[in-house]
Amino acid sequence: MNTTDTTVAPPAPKSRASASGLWTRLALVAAACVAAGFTPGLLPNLFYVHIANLTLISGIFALSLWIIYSVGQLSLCHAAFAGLGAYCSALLSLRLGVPPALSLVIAGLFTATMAALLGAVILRLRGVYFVLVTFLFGQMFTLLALNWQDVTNGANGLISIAPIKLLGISFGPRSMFFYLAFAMFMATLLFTWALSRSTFGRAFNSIEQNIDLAESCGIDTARFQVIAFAIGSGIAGVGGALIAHYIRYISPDTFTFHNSVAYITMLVVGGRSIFWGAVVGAAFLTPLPEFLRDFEGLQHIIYGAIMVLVLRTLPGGLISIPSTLRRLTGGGK
Amino acid sequence: MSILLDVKDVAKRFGGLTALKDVTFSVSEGEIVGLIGPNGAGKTTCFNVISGTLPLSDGRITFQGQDIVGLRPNRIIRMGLARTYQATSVFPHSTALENVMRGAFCRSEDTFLGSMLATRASREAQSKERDRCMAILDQVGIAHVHDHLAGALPYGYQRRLGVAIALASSPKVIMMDEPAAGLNPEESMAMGQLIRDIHTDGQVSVLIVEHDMKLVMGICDRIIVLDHGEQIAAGSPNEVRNNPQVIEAYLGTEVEA
Amino acid sequence: MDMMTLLIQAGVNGLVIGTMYALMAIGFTLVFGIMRVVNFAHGEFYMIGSFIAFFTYAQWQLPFVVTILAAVLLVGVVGALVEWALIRPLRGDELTGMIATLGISVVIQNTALMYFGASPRPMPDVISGLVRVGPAVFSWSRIFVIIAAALVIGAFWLFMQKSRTGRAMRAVAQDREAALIQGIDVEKIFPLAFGISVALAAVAGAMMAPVFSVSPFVGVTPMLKAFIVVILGGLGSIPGAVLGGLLLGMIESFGATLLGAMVADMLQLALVIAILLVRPSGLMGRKEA
Repeated sequence: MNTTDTTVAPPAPKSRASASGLWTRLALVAAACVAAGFTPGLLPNLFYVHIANLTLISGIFALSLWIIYSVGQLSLCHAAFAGLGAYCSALLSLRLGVPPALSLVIAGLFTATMAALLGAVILRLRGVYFVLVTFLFGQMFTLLALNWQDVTNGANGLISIAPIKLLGISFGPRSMFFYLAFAMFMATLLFTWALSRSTFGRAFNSIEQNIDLAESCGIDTARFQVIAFAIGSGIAGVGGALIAHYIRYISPDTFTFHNSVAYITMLVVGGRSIFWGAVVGAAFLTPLPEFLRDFEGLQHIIYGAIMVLVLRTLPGGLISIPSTLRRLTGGGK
Repeated sequence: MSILLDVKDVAKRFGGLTALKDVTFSVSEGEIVGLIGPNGAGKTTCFNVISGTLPLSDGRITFQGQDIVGLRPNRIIRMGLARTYQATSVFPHSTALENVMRGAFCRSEDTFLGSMLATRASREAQSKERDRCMAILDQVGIAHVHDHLAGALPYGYQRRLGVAIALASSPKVIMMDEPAAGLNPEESMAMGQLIRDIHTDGQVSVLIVEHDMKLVMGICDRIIVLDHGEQIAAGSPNEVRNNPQVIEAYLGTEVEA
Repeated sequence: MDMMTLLIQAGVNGLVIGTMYALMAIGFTLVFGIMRVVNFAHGEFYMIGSFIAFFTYAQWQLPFVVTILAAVLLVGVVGALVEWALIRPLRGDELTGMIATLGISVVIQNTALMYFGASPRPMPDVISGLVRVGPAVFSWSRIFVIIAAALVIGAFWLFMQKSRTGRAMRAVAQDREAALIQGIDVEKIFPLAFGISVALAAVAGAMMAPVFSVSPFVGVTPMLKAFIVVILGGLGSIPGAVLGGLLLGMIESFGATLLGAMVADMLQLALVIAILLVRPSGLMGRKEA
């Protein structure tokens, strides 16, 4: 009834057909994989492949941000955690010669741990304070990246980062990277979906709807909030590492507050009530700036304007359009 | 009859204001205990202190022999001490059944990994839970609206849902904060009957704060009276009703005896 | 320069930026206290104030008083309109309101970028000349900032304490329901409060324009500082905002002089997180139950 609502919708009640539902979903996933297999060949040129790659990675960022949002928190330093993962993985492979496939995993775990530490410390802060502190943390990261010259090379950034190699295949070139990005995106999507239907997901949703009542139901709200924050931020770290090994150059400018705002915009525009919104938002908004490059400066204005417009007129985001239409045309509850 | 909840010399101060002082009582198996007093006597504060929502200033509180002072509310619930709230508290965007299932969160046999992978064990556990929660909804009399969104339910049903959520955690003691607030006389009677049923069927002890004297006198085995944060009387309904201090405390307040 | 002079200069600079931070923080915390909205666009109104100063004072050579008036009125009215059109409908949901202001800030900043370009434009001093206090030397401009800011803060304080509207605002901040019952028109208070809040930011921007020059990005740092001040002083507390602002200004100034700007910046942020650990509601904030 309320998909125009911005509160996170609880997982759909399980039907007796959930076993067969599982098979349907697996079939869909398989179909998507097949489609993805043909995509790089179908796209007109490498520029489009590049856009697709960026969109897939944005999808990872948006989904992981949704995980955090699903517990009722807003992270304004999502890009900073992406950056943390990026620098971690880049440095491991550049300085210590760790193979990127491995450094990616380590970076993700490292980022998740840092997020858990930060989260445990600041989660006692209610609502608004938490958001403000995540903003401050993001600023700290940027400052650190800029000023810790010995490690991060400051404003010049890190160059010549190695591409990811797995089983002898290099995922450096754009077309090849597409497959990796797609695989990572699907993994994130499936994970997020499974998470939202799991015991954790139910706990998250309870906390988001009524945190005091959730506590009274025996849900350790503090622990679950940290878990959501750590998981979401950790995945962002992996996303950041992916960028590092794809673009093969990162600098403090790659992961700023503006990026965090962009991910929030994707989440809002796509729709916050269910994880699909994040995917829709990323798919809609990532290609936009690239295709608007001709209108220098206007692209960002449009970004911001779209967000405000959506919030005012369609708070449920793009995914709420079907149900809104249903309501407006007289149907529906 | 063993003592389940033991409250000893509990005090709560807010800066210079003493909200509770030397409050001592217990709730045993098989009892319904009432906590009454004029407005501002500290009854809800007492609940908040026991359930862990507010920190204690002084005193001891044990549940089944274990010290519960300083524990987070979610741990206290898991030990078997549940509560309902004065202000109706539900998960508004979920159905009534889902609400109760969330109340049963800490008793669920479902595991994280199992639910992630949708294993058969997980689905069976959830199915079991669903049946148990439907039964609870039935017990409180709102099974017919199990698939309605909790936020859209009428006030009386929401209050019952609150009770159902508390029952879902299979508590040994349930603390009810003004369950009849805002209910008309018929609904109050029904609530009173419900509490009695829960007590006998579920073998749950009840500690109830209420202003509705008819309800309280009707169902409680023992009553404790607070006034200005201090205990001024304790005993059977008859004893309390005729206690001069109690009458004086309520003087000027409407008493529906 | 000997230590004494350094310290005095650091102190005066601390007052300059401190009073600016206080002005930013007051507006920011006012909006939060009354409307529970975190206004991420706050810094952009500071920037607009800077540009108003640039055009009215540097380009069109109007007296600075006109600049201040223009900043207050223009930004105040625009702010009230923004609140009425965009933020008011979202008032139920804190998070959503916050996100909306994020979007607004993006739009404002990039519009300015598109029209004015990124290069900073310097501005002439309002009062030229230097003043000597012993071995220490200060520009009148900076002294002017301190005095002007103090006057504005004083005027604001008077308004909040003595005027009917000001008292109404305080009532709404304390308890919206009670204020409604008392007949206060809450619907009018909100745009007014928002307008005043961003007008204060614009005044700060106008006054600091000669000191820091003018560009579309000039509002970012003041907003960051406003956050820090407000967290330090407690969200919703105006005395906290003033005290926090001055304190932060001092810490920053002395920190930069003694430790270097970069370390000072990190120190501030670390300090805030540390304070939040110990006193989550800030130095003077109300405890969010």
